[in-house]
Amino acid sequence: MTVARSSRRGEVVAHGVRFEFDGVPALRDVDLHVRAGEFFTLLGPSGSGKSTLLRIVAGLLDPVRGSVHIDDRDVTFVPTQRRDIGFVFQNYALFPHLTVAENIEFGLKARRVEATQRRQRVDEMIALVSLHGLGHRYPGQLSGGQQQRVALGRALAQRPRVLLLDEPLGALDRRLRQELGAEVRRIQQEAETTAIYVTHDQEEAFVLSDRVGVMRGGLIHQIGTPQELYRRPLDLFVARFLGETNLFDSEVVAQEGGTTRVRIGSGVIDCQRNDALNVGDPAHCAMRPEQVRVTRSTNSEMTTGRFQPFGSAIVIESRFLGQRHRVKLTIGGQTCTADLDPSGDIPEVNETVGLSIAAGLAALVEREPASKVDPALEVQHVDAHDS
Amino acid sequence: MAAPIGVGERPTRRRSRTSSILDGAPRLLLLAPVVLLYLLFFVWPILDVILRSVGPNGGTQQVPTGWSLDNFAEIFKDDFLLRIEWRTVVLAITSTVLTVLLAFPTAYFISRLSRRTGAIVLLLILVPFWISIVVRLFAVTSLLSPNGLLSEAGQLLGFQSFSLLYTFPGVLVGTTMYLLPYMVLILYARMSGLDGNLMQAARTMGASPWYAFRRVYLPMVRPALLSGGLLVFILSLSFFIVPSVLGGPKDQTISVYIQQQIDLYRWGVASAMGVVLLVVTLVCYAGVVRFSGGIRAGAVTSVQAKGVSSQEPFRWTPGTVVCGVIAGLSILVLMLPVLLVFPMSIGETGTVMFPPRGFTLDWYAKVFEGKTWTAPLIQSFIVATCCAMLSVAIGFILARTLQRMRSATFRAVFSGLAFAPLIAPAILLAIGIYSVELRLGLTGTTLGLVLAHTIIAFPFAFALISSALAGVDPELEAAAWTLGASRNRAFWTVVVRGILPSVVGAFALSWVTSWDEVVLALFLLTGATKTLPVTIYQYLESGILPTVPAVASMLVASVVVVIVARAVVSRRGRVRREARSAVGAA
Repeated sequence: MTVARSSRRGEVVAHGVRFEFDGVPALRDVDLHVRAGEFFTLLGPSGSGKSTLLRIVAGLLDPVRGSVHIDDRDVTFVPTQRRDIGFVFQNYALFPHLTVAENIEFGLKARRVEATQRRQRVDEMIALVSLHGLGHRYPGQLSGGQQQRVALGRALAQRPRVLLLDEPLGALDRRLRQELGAEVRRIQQEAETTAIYVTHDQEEAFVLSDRVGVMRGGLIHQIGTPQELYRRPLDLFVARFLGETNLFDSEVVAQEGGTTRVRIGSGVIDCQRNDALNVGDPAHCAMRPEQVRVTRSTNSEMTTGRFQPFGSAIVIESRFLGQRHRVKLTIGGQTCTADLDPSGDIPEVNETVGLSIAAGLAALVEREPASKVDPALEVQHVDAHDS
Repeated sequence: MAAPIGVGERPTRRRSRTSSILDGAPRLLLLAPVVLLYLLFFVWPILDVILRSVGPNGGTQQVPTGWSLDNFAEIFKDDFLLRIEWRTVVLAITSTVLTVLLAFPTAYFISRLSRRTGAIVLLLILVPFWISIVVRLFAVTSLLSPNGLLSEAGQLLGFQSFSLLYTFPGVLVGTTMYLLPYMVLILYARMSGLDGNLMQAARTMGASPWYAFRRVYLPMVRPALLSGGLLVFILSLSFFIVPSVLGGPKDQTISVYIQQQIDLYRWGVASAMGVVLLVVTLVCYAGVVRFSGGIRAGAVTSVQAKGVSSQEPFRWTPGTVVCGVIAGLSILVLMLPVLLVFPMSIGETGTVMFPPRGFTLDWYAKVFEGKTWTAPLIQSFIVATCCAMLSVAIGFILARTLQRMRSATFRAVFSGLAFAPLIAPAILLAIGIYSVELRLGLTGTTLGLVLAHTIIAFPFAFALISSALAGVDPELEAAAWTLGASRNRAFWTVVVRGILPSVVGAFALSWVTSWDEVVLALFLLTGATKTLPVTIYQYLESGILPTVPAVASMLVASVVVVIVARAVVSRRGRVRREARSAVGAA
């Protein structure tokens, strides 16, 4: 196999995949296209169906309907052991009766790779996951982070087309998670394999991924690069699930050029264009805390430059957090958060300030029914407009 | 009583040693009678048998004069004895192999079912396990007899009328039925604890189902398979009741021979055989310890994976179909005899037959007429209740003592000694205790039987109570002290209250152990009033009256009621516990 071709291995296409647990749908006709060689993350709260989708790609679960292709080969009815994948389990699932080297060797033996080649590959993998000198240990004698590396090496030993990772860092503490996250990314790049990674941790998803698919209630809500998802959420769920967001009730007043103009309270601001909205529609205007600008004088430079004011607020809380200074404000009975430069001008508590935002920065998402408030609480429910 | 504790002062272990009911000098006072009982009714009996085996004329005199190994020499020279030994070993090996072959697929199948379904199927294994072996054997005799169910089914298929009763295959049916629940439970415990992800992991690495089974599943289950197999083999070596009821003269085992010899008061060779049995048992048991103690498995940090991944989904593959069929067969072997007692008890005929002719409940009424059954019922009840109370008390004292021990070696030796009565061959214990009680003048008395039963029942109580105590957070007791509770009060209201379900379980288990016990009761209670299993056993040997199935039916029904009640109570307890932990979390 040539280098050029091998670097293009591992395209995964799932089409119309549906899965049910005891008649309750866990995946609702999901489509997924993961490009060869890319690091793709399925991100979502627990119960959103991300692990189920991963297991269907692995063949550990059979979909009710739909198909899965790996590199143009229909594998929907191919048993797991012949799908040419690697899988890293959340609890690693290392074989406790086998040493580290034997764990890594397992897949090669099962595929009847010749002995000298096998040994060579095991040594390569041990080097790749930095476990020098630990090959003879049993999994029980390793730390959590080391076990995780074994699981990774074991999954990659047979050079799979696709590496599937089911919250592999979930069991580790925060520091180790960051360290190993970077490691996972490096190893994936070196191994030149496609990776599909499942997590509920947004930070992890952003650090590792080329692209991210946000899932909820058995559906993929939005797919995009971390930047796209953060800057341009397409619905309320994505807006709230990724990072912090201030949501303001607004009304569309015009669609102009590259922006959609909305009215918030007393102000009118230009947001990123959202073609799904018509003039007169209510919408949520989503602003990130670092996008909100706070000015001490309520009148000054109101309309100057590209900043557009949308009301005045009272500071109710002010906290220094190191890299940023966070103020909580109340505006029209609603609480809003703004992150300021800590070395800049910080308003006092109880001070009245003006709020503004740069034109074309805020995102607009459709208003959802009132019951859809907390995304974490309603993962199992059916989304009326989604299905 | 309470030693006052200053606010904020941490109760230290030293302080806790001073005044609790099971601490310090009082603890020794409580431990002393337990040790005495153990020495008198366990250590002495075994020593006695050993001494008799090397003494001349079976060492019947109080102080043996000189010693010889003649008895042992005879065991390995005499043709007749060699044949008995050979038969015993053959029976033990075939029973073990057959049991393992049935139990492995059965346990595997149950472990793959959903937790709920699995629990129900497991109940079908457990119900027979709790029913006295003599009751089940009674049903088996009528199953295997020439006009029994098996033979009639054969005739329907065009075979001749036949009888497996008093044949080797017949004995094998009985032994397998006896051993199967042990093996299934041991294997199930291991299999259900396995991480389903391991098999899935093997498949993601390209292993075929067969390869994954051989290289991952089997090595993981091997410790349970080996230790369970050896344990079952130990049990089969001392088979006594099954061959003596189901077997013909040619199927008699070492244990049956020993019993016959003691009846004739010929102790020498019988004792020597008992000693050989003990030695073989100990060697096998060392194997059990080696296999179940030397496991590395389970050392991997097992984070409970999420709903989807924690269990390998159940699929009907050729493998699970075969296992399902074998599981069905196992349950049939276990449940059929248990269920058969009901129809057999309602026939109008004066002899027991299946299918029953007519319908009458007279036999149930007859059970309560006269003293034939009521006296043994009361006797068994008294013995079992006294034995259970003693066992729970001993279990508490020992568990508390174990809890205070720091040295790992001491703890191992202590537990080993406590569990020793379970491993000792029943027949050896029976003749040993019989001999000791003869000297103490306790044979034939209810007290003698209660004490003997306590020796084999207290290890169960000890096991349950000590594992429950180990699960109690020691901080809880300390917390009670800081709140002003005395050592006594803290122990009873916090510790004991917390493990009450286990205490009840310990009581029930020791109660049933005594209630079902035949071998010791057969030797020790020679008086007019025998225990219930012994009475049934004697009817099995002399001939069955229709009241026997009536009694058997009532016993089965009572066990079923108790088990179902327990299942309901423990479910309610679980709900309550969950509610409590929810409160704790809030």
